[in-house]
Amino acid sequence: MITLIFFLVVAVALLALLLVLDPRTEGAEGSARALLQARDALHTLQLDLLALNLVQNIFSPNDWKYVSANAPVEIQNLFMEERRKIALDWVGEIRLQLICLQHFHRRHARHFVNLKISTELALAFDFALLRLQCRALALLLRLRGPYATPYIAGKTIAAAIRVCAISGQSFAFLAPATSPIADHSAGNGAAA
Amino acid sequence: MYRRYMVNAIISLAGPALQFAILFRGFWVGLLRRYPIFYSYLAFVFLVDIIRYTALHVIPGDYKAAYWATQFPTLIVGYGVLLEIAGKTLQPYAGADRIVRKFIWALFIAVFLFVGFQSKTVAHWSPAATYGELERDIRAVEVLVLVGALAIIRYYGISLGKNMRGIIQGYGLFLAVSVVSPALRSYAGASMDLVWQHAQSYSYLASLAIWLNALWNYDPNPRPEEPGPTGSDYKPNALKTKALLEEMRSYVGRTARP
Repeated sequence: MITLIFFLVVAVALLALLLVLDPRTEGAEGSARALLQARDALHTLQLDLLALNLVQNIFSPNDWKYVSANAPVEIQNLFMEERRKIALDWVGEIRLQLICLQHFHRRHARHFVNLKISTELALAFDFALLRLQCRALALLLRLRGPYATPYIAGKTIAAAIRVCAISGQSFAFLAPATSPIADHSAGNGAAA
Repeated sequence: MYRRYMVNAIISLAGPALQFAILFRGFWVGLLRRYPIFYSYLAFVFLVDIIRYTALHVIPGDYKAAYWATQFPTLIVGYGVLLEIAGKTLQPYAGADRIVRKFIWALFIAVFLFVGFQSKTVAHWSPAATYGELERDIRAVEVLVLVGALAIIRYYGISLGKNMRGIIQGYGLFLAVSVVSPALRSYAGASMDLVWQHAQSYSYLASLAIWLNALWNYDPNPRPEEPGPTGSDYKPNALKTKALLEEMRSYVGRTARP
């Protein structure tokens, strides 16, 4: 019985992989487009999603204090619901940009002769873990709302500052492929 | 009865006819030199079919011996098709190619070690109780190799042309059925014999139809636009990606923590 299950599993795995051998699922070919997508992802993360004022606007309790002090309960509920949606969109967008970065890494790494299986496995695990964390964060926001704890805003802002600094490294990560884009992006990063 | 006879006759003729059509078309559009191992495999199978058909009608008593004598060389040539799939698909992607080669070697070594261990430790051990089981096991290793290669092709987003996609889909379908049918047969007994034979015949016909469609014209794998780097800067790149990830993880994690 175990033998039969084993053969069924490998056969089903093969058939499943054959089904996903669809050219439409393979995305754009060529590093030029992938590079642009990766640059856009980093740009979005650095200048938009992780921008200090945006994070502050989403998670700062000042708006909530004002609304809760001056508006009726219906408006407070509506405000809380809208703010929760914005926070969820924010986490979802970070996750999407992360997926884009991972795609770029795969497209970039597949050409390297000295590609290491252990490193690739570790990276794949890290990406999966971070995406999982994003989902967990989204769940937390859904369940407890954006103002559930007094520390969220402070932690977010502090972390956002660190990630903005780290984004500079990611432009270096893009540098070996095309220097003009990297230089241009580096300028943007410095401006931020 | 007559209808079943007619269906069997059509199936047994359709196979060689499709094989011949694929080979002729391949010769006509110059695909034979593009995929030499695949077409060698197909020509070999075509030849084997003729030998078996002749044996069945001329020396029916020795058909079984003729079948197994021709079946194992076919299995070996089948491994060549897998190597051609991996080689043609991954050649422009040095990193992915390296991973697949390592995977194939690791798998072969693991299989040989396992067989060696079994032969030394199990009393009255033989490679398989029957030739059918041996064929099933050899096919299973082929399936594992193909699954590994396809997983890496999928993971690294490597694009396939219509030709290679068709070769993979046709051969993969044939392999999957070849592995499952004998396994079901050995589990369910002789009652599955007819089902096993029909499943293999139909799946092989389906594979031939896929190959004929996919190999009608030359449609190579799209080549990546960028030249492959020499590989000296992989480690720094991987480390930078890792560092970025670490920061982003701590960022997301701390945001989530109260």
